[in-house]
Formats: sequence, structure tokens, C-alpha cells
Amino acid sequence: MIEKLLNASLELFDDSEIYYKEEVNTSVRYGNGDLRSISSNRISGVMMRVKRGGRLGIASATTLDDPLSLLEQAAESAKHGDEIPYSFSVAAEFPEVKPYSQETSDYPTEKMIEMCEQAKADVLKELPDISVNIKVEKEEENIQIATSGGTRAQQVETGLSFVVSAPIRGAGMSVYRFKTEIAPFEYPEEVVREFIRRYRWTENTKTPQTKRMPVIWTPQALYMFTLALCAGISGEELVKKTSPLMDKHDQKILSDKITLIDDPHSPRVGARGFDDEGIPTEKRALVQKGVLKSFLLDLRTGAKLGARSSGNGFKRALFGGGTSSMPNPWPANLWLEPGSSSLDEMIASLDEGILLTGGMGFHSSNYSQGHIAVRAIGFMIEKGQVTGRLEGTMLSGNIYEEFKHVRAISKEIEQGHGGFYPYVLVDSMQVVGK
Amino acid sequence: MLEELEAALGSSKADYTDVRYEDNRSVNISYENRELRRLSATTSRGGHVRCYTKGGKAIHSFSRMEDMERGLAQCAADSQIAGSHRKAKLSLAPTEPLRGQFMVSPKKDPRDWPLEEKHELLKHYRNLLMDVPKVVVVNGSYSEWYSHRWFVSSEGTAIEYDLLISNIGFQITAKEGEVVQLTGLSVGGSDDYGKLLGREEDFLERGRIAAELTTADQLPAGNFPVILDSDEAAVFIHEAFGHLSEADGLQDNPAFLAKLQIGAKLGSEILNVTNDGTILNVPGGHLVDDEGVRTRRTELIKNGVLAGRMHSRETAAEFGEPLSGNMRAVGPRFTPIVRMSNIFIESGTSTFEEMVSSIDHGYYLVGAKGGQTSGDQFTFGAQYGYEIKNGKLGELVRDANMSGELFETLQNISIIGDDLRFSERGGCGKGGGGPMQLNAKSGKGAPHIKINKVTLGGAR
Repeated sequence: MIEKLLNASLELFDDSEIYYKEEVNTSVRYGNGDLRSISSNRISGVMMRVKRGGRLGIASATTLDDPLSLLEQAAESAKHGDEIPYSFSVAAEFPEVKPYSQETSDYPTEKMIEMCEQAKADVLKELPDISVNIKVEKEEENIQIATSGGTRAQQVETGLSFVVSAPIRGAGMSVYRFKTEIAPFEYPEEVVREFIRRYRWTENTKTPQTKRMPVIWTPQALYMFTLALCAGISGEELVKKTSPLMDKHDQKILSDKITLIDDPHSPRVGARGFDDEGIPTEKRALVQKGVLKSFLLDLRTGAKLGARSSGNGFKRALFGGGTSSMPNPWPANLWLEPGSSSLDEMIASLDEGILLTGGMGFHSSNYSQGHIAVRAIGFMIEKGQVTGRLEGTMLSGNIYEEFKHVRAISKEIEQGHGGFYPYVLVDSMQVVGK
Repeated sequence: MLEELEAALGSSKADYTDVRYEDNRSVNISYENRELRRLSATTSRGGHVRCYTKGGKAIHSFSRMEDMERGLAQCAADSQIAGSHRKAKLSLAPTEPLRGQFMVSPKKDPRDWPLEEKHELLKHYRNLLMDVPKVVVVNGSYSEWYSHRWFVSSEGTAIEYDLLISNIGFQITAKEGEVVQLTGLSVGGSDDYGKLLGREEDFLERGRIAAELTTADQLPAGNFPVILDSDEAAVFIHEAFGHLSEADGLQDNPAFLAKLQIGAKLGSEILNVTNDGTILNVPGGHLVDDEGVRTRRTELIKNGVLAGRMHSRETAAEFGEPLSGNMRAVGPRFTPIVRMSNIFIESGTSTFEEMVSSIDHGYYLVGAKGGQTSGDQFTFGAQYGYEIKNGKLGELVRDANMSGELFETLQNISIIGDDLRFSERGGCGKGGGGPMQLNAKSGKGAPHIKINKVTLGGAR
């Protein structure tokens, strides 16, 4: 089907790119300890980019069934389109990654239900009064990219995920823990145990004094740091000349404890051999011991900056993204180097501080400039102990100031948004409470 | 199409089955300064099936029409499995089977305008903004979305309906030295193309403010009284309270529901909040929802007391409350979830001047800049603000992010203005247990309001 569309496209346009994705998934969701629904999808999406007389044309649809309509859309769009300074990808060797497991694909619904029932029983044994929510999902994605320059990229990936959560009594917010793997895993008892431990921390509420104090960033909260940083090193901001890191290449911008790697090649969830423009992905340090080492470029921003794409053209966004969106510079799969401390040691080391599990309002912060002002979600630490969940607390600061002073990094690594991160203890940040 | 869908329904082995099919068309033009980033007129099609059997529920989305039968069979079988495990059986509140067409009737239909003119209009506004001193980046977009839908259920509903919305929006970046500031504005938000025309002054004002903000002081951190403009107040009522009025979010949170019983006193007597999808010329207007229930007006807070909430057929049955017609999906791959249509704070009796003069030291926050809520905690940004000192408006301030706790903040609304206005920008993200659905057809409105205390998370 793709070849047919590409061949037809060759007759009309100078350069063509077809991106096609199929998704098949099934999930079982428990709400308040009862099976809420079984959900399944068999969906697809296609996006075409073409060049005619140097001008960009775009078309998208949900299936490849109507190639004529796609070609018409693309031709109409190219009539109005601007000249673009880049060509679509050409044939290349892709690094070998295989984030696929047939067992995940075949994983039966009944086993998903069993996993939910087991988690429910274990949680309710310890916390009989809570409304526990559990979701188990299996996914299979098939991404294909073909260009008139000879790119033929295909990757099939699978994932099995488990998430347990519960709203905090009376507050509505949730505590959650999760696990995602490429291949099926046994009932994740350790995830459920950590969930129970954290839920117990919510029994008391605490509002800290307004002042500066140490903050332990959990892997689940660190996306605020990585997204702000990745906005700063994104070709988008460089082209616009609004990045605070414009002239900072090879300069120290963060604590020397911070080494952030874009690593799409290691066999983890999120591994990719090519980006959404069919360019081979690269494993490389973005920040090495606090020194800024590289930027994120796609075809467009690379061409504008007189450089090549770094294999970071992805159809991703803070909100939205997806097949019918345009690619933009985005990290492939982040890895923040672990340290030698542990979460429990970090907690024990603090006389007063915060364990940050999330932040609300990140997207309305001026984060592309490194500024973060969020309502803090997490726990209060006093005299080396977690003493309750935060209430009425805001956290603000600029990552390029605060992450210059990192006290410790944990050896534990967990999956967070966009990658895998350890716990990071930041020396001091402005907390607004009482 | 309806016959085809009804025929397919006949094969379902579930107790209840419905199918929705969509044929959607989007026009998108977007610029960054003089660079055209995207110009496209695209399609998306697909369908969604829901089955209930023995009190269990299953759903399925498909892209290809030829996958419908296979999807229906899988969904019916999954609902059997769900029914055999579900303890508290689910049911659907009764509704009259609906048949016929429920189509939009725009004053000036955006689909009648040629692509060239939309393109020119966008460039015209863009050019004006690029000439504003200190403005370095202008991101502008025209968006138009038409969704043609068909819905049939095994109870005899068979309807054809549609949705249409168009917007022009700009994000304006100004820079002076190291300081970068953003403002934005979106106009339109309905099926009337006329609302997009003649908006030069509105956009220019936001451009000038972005420039001024680069030399403004940062907002301090701390607790202050604030006045919210109608845009900010609308985001507040949408984010902080509106989401908690959507019954599906309360279904699995009994402890929280206990705080939100009908009759609970939430605010002072002056506070009235309503959701009304029948107002068609603002973003959230629609005639029927995606389970074949007619849209209606629902009073949510009446004189400070919780008076009602928004429902699906399933939650209405579970809560024993009336249907509201709020079950909506943003596209064929999504299952409908309970969504606000147009939520708003009803007009009060006070003037803006009265509010300002009541504040010794506080801030006037203007222009929505995104918000988020989780349970009773909320936070959202303002594009800019003004300091208020000794009852008088003072200097412009920047980097405003505020947060609070819902119940305390509702109680703290002390003055409500007489100037209700609806935002022209829709847009609301909600997952509801599934993938995030970004809904452009979600409207919100409010007059100016004064809140006695919120937490400002400024940088100073």
C-alpha cells in the first residue's frame, strides 16, 4: 500500500515522504476496586509530506485506503506552501533496536484481569478503605516511513504496562506507581509495595514555611527539568534566537553531577532506530558533567542552522503531537546518569525538605527560559522522615540556577516522562507555603 | 451510513451496543514569523463501538470500515468478560430514542471561504504584529474543524449530526536583553467566520503588552488578594470547579464525592455557576452528545450551593441524577467521556472599579495562560498582571502563576462583576482514564471576580 502511494506520488512531486502508523492495543481498567471497562483499538494514521517546485505540501488521513484523496490534498497544499530549505531523508543504515516481544502481542485479556485482581487484593489487604484504581495495558505499534530518496524504515514495538493509583482521601489527587516493559512481566509486587508505602505517607497534610529548602526530585517529577532543558537546546528556540543557551555550547550550565544522555539504542521502552523523519537516531550526551554538549535538531531546524538533523525529528509535543502533526526537535529516549546515593539516604539526610513527585501548572510556567513555577505535589520531610503530603505549596525557580547546586543523585533509576531518571537532590529551591 | 451502521448493530451479541462513525475535515494554516509552517486540509475517519453486557462495559475504536465487524465482535465478547468480573453492575439511565438530523446552521460558514482568503487574513494579522517594536516571534494559526457524525444504538437511536469551529490565534514573543515574554490571543471559537474579521485592535493590544512586559517587574511569591479578568476567572471555574462537576471523575472517588453532595455549601450567596451547551455561538455549543442525548442547561452552583452536575447515561444512573447531555468524544479513536460544554460564572452586580478600590495590596491578573487541576488543587498562569496599591491600579507585572485549593478559594470569592464574557478560545485536555482528549469545543465564561486570597508563585 505504501509503495503504491509512493509510486503514484513520484509522478506528481519532486520529493515525497510517507509516515504510516498502526496501533493495536487492549487494556483492562479497574476503578474503585471493580472492573470499569475493557478497551481495545485497531487504529491507523498516515501523513504525507511532499515538495513541488521547492514548496512543501502536507496531507493526512486515517488509512491508506484512499490514495487519490491524499495526493489531491498534498497537491493543493503544495500550491500554497512555502519553499523549504531541506529534502526528506535518503536511504540510510539504522542502528539495530528491537523493542518487540511476540508474548506481549499475544498476552491474553484474562491474564490482565488476573494481574488487576491480585493488585487489588494486595492493596486492600493493607489499605482496606481506599478506592484503588488499576490499569493493565498491552500495546503494539508499527511505524513505517518511506521516502522518494530511498528511505525504507520500519519498527514494530510492544509494551505491557501496569499502573496502580488511588485518590488521596478527601483530596481527590492521586498517588500512583507504574511499570512498563517491552516483554511481559510477572505480577509486579515491588510496585504495589512501594505504592502502599507512599499512600501511607498521605495520612497527614503539611504546609511548609515560605523559604528556601532542599528538594528531592523524583523520576516522575524530573520531566519538568528535562522538558525545560530540552526546550532550551531545541533547534526551534535556536532558530527563533530565544533560547537561554544560545551561546553556551561547551560551557558549564549545570552541576557537574548532571550527565543527561539521549539514548534511543539501549533495549528499553522507548528505543528507536530512526526518528519520525526516517533519520537514524544517535546516542549522545546532551549535558556531560554539567557541560552543554549538544542540541536537538530535526531536518528543518538543522537546515536553518546550517547543520544536519541530529535524528531528533519527532511528532511529539507537551500536549498533542501524533501522526498528523509536524515533526519537531524532541529527545528520543532520555537517560540521566545515576549516582551513588539512595532515596532513603536522601530522605534521612534532610532536616527539612520536600520530596517532589509532580508539579501542576508546568506548562503555564515560562519553562523554555528555564523558569518553573508550579503547585508542588509530593511530601514533606522533617528530621529525616516523611511526615505527610504537601498541601498549599508552590515551588519556583530557574533550572539553570537551581540545578547548578545538586547535592546527590540516587543509584535507583525509574521510568519517567520521556526517559529514565534517578532521584536528584537539589540543594535549595524557593518554596511558598505558610 | 445510518442504515449500514444499524445493520452492523444487528449482529452484536451484547445487551446494549452503540456505534459512532465520524468523517472529519480540518484546515490548518500556521506561521512562525514569515515562515509558513503548515498549510493543510486533511481528513480523518473512523468509528467507535461501546457494548454493555450483564453490567460490564467494553469499548473499541477502529479506523477502517472493514474492521467494524471484527471490532464489534471483539467488543461484545469483551463486555461478556467484563460483565462476568464486574461486581457493582453498570446500567444506563433511560433516554428517549432519538432519530433525525441535528446539523449546524452557521451565520457565515467558514467552509464557504476559499483557502486563499483564510491564508491572507492570517498573514494580515501576522504583519501587524511583526511591526510591533520588541516583538521577535509571531506564531499564528488558522484552524477549522468540521466533524460529521452518525450514531446508532441498539435502543433505536439513529442520528446524524455535526460540529464546526474555527479560530485564529497568535502567540507573541517579545524580547529585550535577556528577558523573553509571551502573550497570546485566540478569536472566533464558533461556526461563524464573521468573528474572525476586523480583530486588528485586539491582536495589536496583546502585541504591545508583550513588548511592555519585557521591562516589567516580576510578580512576587506569596499570598495576596487578586482580581481575575473574565478570561482568567473562566479558566478558574473551568479548571478548579468544572472538572469536579464531571461525574465520571467522581465515580471512582467516593471520599471526594462525599464532599460534593448536592446541597453542599461551596461559596457565598453571590456565586452562581452554570453549564449550558445550548449557547451555540461560543466554543462549547452543540445540539446532541455522543450517546444520543440532547444538550441542555444545567445549574451547577445556585446561590453558593451545589445544585447539579454533568453526566453520562452511566453516571446519571449510578448517581440517580438527571441526564445532562455532556458525553462527548473529540475524534473517532476516542470513547466519549463527560465534558463541560460552556461553563460560566453568572453575572453579579459589582463594577470593576468597586473591586479595585477594595484592595490595599494585591494584583489584577489578565489573560489565560493554561491551567491544571488535580482533585481540589489547581494552578494556572496569567499572561500579565497589574499591581494594586491603596485601591488603585499600578505597574504592569510579569511571570504570574497562581494556585490554590478549590473549596477555600470558592469561599474566598467576595465580589462578582456585572460583565459576563465568554472566552473565544476553547480547548481542554482530559483523559478520563483513557488517552488524553484535547477538546476545542469546550467553552467557558465569567465576569471579573475578586478572590480574597490566592498563592502567587512569582519569581521574586
